[in-house]
Amino acid sequence: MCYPLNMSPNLIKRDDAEATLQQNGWLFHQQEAFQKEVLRRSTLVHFAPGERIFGFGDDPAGIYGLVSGAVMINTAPPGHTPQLINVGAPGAWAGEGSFLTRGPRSLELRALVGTWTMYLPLEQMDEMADADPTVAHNFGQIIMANVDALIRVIHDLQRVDPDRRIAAVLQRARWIGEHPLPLTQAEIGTMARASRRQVNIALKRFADYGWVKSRYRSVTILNAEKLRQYSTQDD
Amino acid sequence: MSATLIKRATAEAILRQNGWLSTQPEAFASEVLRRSILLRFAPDEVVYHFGDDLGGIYGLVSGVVAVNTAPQVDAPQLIHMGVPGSWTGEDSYLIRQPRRLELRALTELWVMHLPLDQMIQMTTADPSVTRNFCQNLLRGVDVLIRIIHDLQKPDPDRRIASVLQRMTWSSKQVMLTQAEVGTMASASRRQVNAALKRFAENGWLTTSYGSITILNAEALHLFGNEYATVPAAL
Repeated sequence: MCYPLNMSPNLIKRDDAEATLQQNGWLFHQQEAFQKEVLRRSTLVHFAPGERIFGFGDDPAGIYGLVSGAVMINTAPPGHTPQLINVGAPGAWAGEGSFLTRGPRSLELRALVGTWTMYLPLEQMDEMADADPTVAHNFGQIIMANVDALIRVIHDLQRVDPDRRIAAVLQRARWIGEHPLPLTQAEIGTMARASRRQVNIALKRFADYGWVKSRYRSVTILNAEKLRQYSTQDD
Repeated sequence: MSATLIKRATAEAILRQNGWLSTQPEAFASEVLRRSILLRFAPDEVVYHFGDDLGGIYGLVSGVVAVNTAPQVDAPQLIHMGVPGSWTGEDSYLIRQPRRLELRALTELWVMHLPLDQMIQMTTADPSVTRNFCQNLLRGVDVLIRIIHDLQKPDPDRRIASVLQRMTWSSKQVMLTQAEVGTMASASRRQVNAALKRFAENGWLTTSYGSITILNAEALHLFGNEYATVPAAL
């Protein structure tokens, strides 16, 4: 599947945004009545490239569903500087911890490119839970989707060979389709635990094989399946 | 090996005083324990497998349990050791899908098991308990974030130190082979062997066949957190 990356702030249609979220990720797996209620109470919000959606330690607030663009997910244990660990795909939701624990944010989300999100405020979530306490179960399911993503990140980082870790990180962004992945080599290196030099060499090799096209500050994935096969071979 | 006996009251006290249940309201904690069963697993026995059918949650009372996982199409790998007071297994309750993790006893294990039907009964009586169960899952997310943070460290010695320090959450006696430490730290056995020798020389641990005893977890923690980011010009 291919998603719009640089949709202009003036061109997005609410119906298209709702359709993206109804057809992907957590909301796709919910009952129609719940989907409609979430979307009815949500606001469509645009973030400029580099803009922070929410920060580590911010006060509790609502959840964001990614409609188009790309979002950097930065985190670390308390007391450490958040590091880039993943890039969120359209259909992904984040921020459910506030609703469940009332605690501060444990992640930082930042728009990588011009990004559209659907925002469901915390008070709207509370109103939904007051009317029907079982919705807490629906919101809790967002955590499982995020746990799956974290398990995948751990698995990729456990690979011993840096080239395979780099291939795995690139393959994880396959949802971006043939749009350039707007990440620097240093950012790919942080996600893959590799130096810029190792990323540079790996990208050249993958480009020679025809799996990616590499330019300054961006990589285009041409063959995600080959990257996947390569990344999952034994170290 | 003869089984150690553990009293139900002792098991309940451990879970009330540690981890998730210690942060929950008294009435909820009592209800969870009232509906739970105390179970014993022998060393090497599997509590549940990756892909197993739906089931409830398990709270670790005593013993050492290995946590293995991977994305659904890959073979599970060791990522962590359970800590007394920690509970796991909410995946079945929340999304009614097969198990995401494998739990394997490394020593004799005592766990409290809250069956899925009991969780469903509690939720039917009071839907707000979902939040209490989700709060446990969010504690699990914090652990996953710590594991990722440790694995992002470029220097293998610092990853190995961080893994060993994390193991002291459950026991000063680390029941892991060098290969298993290597899997958790994404390091070769040779790298683990060299790091253990260095850490032993510093007086931070002692090693004997099949076991590592941590003497100074704080020193490992400090060492593990120096230069935790990738130098750009490496």
